[in-house]
Amino acid sequence: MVDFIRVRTRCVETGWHGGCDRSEPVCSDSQIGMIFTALDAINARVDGCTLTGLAGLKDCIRNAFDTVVWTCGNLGDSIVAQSSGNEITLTPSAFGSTAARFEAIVFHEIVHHCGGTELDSEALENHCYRGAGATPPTSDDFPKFRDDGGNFVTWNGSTGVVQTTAGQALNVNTADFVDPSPPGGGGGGW
Amino acid sequence: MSRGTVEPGLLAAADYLDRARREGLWRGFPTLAGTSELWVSGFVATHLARADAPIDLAPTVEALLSRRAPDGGWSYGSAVPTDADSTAWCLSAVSRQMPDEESARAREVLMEHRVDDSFATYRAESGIGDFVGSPPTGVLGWTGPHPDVAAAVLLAGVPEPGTPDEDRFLGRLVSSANATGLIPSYWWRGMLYASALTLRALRARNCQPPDAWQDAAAEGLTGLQRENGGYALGADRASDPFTTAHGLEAWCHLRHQSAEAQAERAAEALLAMQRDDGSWRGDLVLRIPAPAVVEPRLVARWSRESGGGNSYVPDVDGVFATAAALHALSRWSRNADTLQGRVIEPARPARGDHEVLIERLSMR
Repeated sequence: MVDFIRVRTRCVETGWHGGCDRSEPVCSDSQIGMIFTALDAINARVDGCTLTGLAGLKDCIRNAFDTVVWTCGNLGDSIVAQSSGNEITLTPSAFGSTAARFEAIVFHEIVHHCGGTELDSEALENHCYRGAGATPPTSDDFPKFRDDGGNFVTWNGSTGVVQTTAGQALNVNTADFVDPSPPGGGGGGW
Repeated sequence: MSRGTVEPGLLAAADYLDRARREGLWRGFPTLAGTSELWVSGFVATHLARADAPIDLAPTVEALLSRRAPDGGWSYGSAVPTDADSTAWCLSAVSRQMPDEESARAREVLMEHRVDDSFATYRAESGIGDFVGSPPTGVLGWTGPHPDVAAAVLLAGVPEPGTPDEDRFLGRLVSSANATGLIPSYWWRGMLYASALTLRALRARNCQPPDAWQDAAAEGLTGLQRENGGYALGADRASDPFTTAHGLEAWCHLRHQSAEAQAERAAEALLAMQRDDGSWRGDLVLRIPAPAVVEPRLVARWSRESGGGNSYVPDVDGVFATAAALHALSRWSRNADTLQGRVIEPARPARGDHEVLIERLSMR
């Protein structure tokens, strides 16, 4: 079980000296509780979800409780969560998801936090949470897939097959990962 | 493959770069700020010198010395404010021919770009905001810490080796590696540029990262390596010379059981990509995040060749690719020692003032 997490604070009482006399977490108790629950479940999921050759990533995911600073707040339109630097922001929309979807969202952002590209996060989310909270990539994701590739996975845009860099095929719905507008010459590659 | 077989390729590459030079300077990377002469020439000249390439660099040194900014640094081009990356590469290229006091001033300019224990590309006070038409808050990305720039500054000898600050900067740089074992750049696509330069900077200072760090980097490099031994941009099928050159260099530095074999594969891939005129193909390797962008990964869409914010910029005529490939192959052919010396532990992340640790018990 995760023993502690780090949460962003905001100043709620400014002193005469201009400094902050009192601050409080930007996440509510119930939101913090949901993060604890999700992290416990993610750690169990990572232990049971085969990720051959990605020991560094698994370690990073398990250590996320200590390395991530959680923020709760709004982001731009249609963005439910975001990872930047050591911070992961979760929106009310994310907290309003089902428990399974919320866990998959948090997992997706932790993969980014660990150095994953959009392809990595989408592929690993769909591998570890297939039928259990994952959503398929959207058309907006594919330019990023092409531009950045994967740091933990390789992708064949023509077939939609995704593998870990060690060669383990991921259990994703390959149709969801077929490049809808491949570059000239017939699609992505390895 | 014999390491001696690269010699004709190196000579052809040097000859190509010699022909590509005009009035002592190389030019490349067209952007809305113009095409770079100073930054490009500093980078190319530094790499040619390190490779002992048979090119007379005196005209380049002379041109760079005569085109320093009034503040003592260098910039992307004469109309652009001074930046740390240009200053680092140009200083590396000319430092031996520079009077001590001018060299010291250039080092001060670099130190003025310090952000915590790293270096920013631009200082907020440099005038870069006015240049790009943004308020000070609009250049937060360009004025933040950049590992790719920090590595270049360390390679330029700043801070001085042996000074108390040295380990702090190196530790911060080493800690920039993510779970892939590699270091993402701010200005370059992929992770091999910053990773290779970090290893080069450590080696230049007779330092090394811990064994576990090197193992992780080797794992990351292995995972990204294509079947032909090369490295690609994004999901591209074809290997990219600039990226492959930095992959090769990284393997050359690492002390790892698979390093020699993997380096040979990368060297073979790189040699196979050399063109008849001695050059290597340049691709869209440079990226320009909009000045406010702190985390380039979050950019929704990159344009091609617009030269503005959030765009990929081409290495026209492959000048950078050829210099990097020549340098990496030269390093590989000399079979120089791998990393050794003092071990630099990754810096622990500083805990911010604006966060709180919440224990599960307190939630009950």
